[in-house]
Amino acid sequence: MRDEDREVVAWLRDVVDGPAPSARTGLDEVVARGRRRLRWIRAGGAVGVVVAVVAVGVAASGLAGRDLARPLPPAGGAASTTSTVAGTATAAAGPDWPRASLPARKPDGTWSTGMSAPPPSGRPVIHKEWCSSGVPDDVLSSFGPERIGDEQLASFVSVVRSAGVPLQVSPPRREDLPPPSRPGGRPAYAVEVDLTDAEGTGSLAMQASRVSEEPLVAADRHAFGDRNCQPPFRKVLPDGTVLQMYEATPTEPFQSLRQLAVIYRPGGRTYTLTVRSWGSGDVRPDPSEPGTVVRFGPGRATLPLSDAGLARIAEELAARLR
Amino acid sequence: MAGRDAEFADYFTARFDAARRTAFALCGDWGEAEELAQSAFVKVYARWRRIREETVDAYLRKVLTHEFLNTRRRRRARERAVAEPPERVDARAAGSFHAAETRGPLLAALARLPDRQRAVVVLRFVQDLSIEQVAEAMGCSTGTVKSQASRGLAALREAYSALGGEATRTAR
Repeated sequence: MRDEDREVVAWLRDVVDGPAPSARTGLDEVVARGRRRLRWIRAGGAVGVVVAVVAVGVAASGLAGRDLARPLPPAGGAASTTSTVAGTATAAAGPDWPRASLPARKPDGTWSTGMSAPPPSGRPVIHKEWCSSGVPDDVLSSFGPERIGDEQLASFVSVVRSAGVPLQVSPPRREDLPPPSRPGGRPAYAVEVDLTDAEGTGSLAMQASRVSEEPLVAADRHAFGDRNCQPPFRKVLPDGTVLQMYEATPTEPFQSLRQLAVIYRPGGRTYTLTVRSWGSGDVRPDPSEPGTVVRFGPGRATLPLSDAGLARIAEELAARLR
Repeated sequence: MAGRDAEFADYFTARFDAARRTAFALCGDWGEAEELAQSAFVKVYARWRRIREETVDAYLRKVLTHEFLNTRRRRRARERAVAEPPERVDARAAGSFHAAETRGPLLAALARLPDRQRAVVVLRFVQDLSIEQVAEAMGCSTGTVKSQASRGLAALREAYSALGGEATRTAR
């Protein structure tokens, strides 16, 4: 190894060995989760599992581009208020759904942009508090990704196009990734569409998966799965379907935006909708992993759908998808 | 169960922080690193009886690496760090990025590596594992490890040189 490389390696080790926030994970928590996992394995459920994601392109028109320029809602903290499922929404920017009746979490970090690539000119810099998600638990009780069928894809496209907003909707794209050859690798399926208005092009994707629990139980388990501090917005339908929406959140690179809405159907099927501030024109094939793409374009400054628009699509899809 | 938990407790106490730091090198985010490390230890706990003492570190490395790669795959490559920053960057944004760079320019360069290449670099150079150990943790051939390690190190070397080498390191 060259001297220069030795310096690089030494510096890398400095970075990893340097100051770090205090660990929050306690032994009790790990043991409790480990025991749950053991019970799951002994019950015969040790099939590799993971919640799937499918991006379905939606040409949703309808979702008002205007309020997409909305700022991110303030991060929640321990003192944040919550509401019951039957109550009213507490955030002015949220959908017309109340927040889940769960206590807010205490922030344990702050998201800041610039880790991989800075936001482009004119994009306001965001700092947002993060909370621990505990999401890995979802691996224990979900049955993994499912490919979205042609009928489901047609419903997705139809709902987005009929959402009533003057957005241009691209033809849908289907992304099926076979499981990687490494042990434990899982497939990934998604359908997605680009959504374009005067502010640029974003996208909406849909993924499908299965969980083993009832909708409300699964929704509670995933309630803080997007590093959110405030409980998510939630609507329970008469047939037991649970709709759950998270606040928009910044992501790398280019300080992009992303927002999730999940449909939990009785019987375990789950649909995840992801609205993003970037579209197909902002990605290109990744030569290091065939079949996947890598971001190179900054996308737009706002999401292409409002909270209300995403909620409307989720409700329409819940009525159509089984 | 008490004996099992006592043994595991000792191992957790001794290794959790190191695993969390390795995860941070992989993902660049302390919150996510905590979750990756926690998830890996949960899996280690569940197999504790079946893992021989001399192989538990290797098993932890493998689980942690796979947790990271699976998480990235689930997120799809769309949220992965870009290979190149945008061409147009205004002064304010550039200032923000520079601040991040000052905190850890090599960490930023590391974040721009493809996920699997980054995992190889971290295991090989940060963890100081042998090529065979990295191949075992990654589930790939030693040839792949060699090529990925070489490319990754070259990219970091380039970033290091561009940042002024040792002068930048001491200024951190």
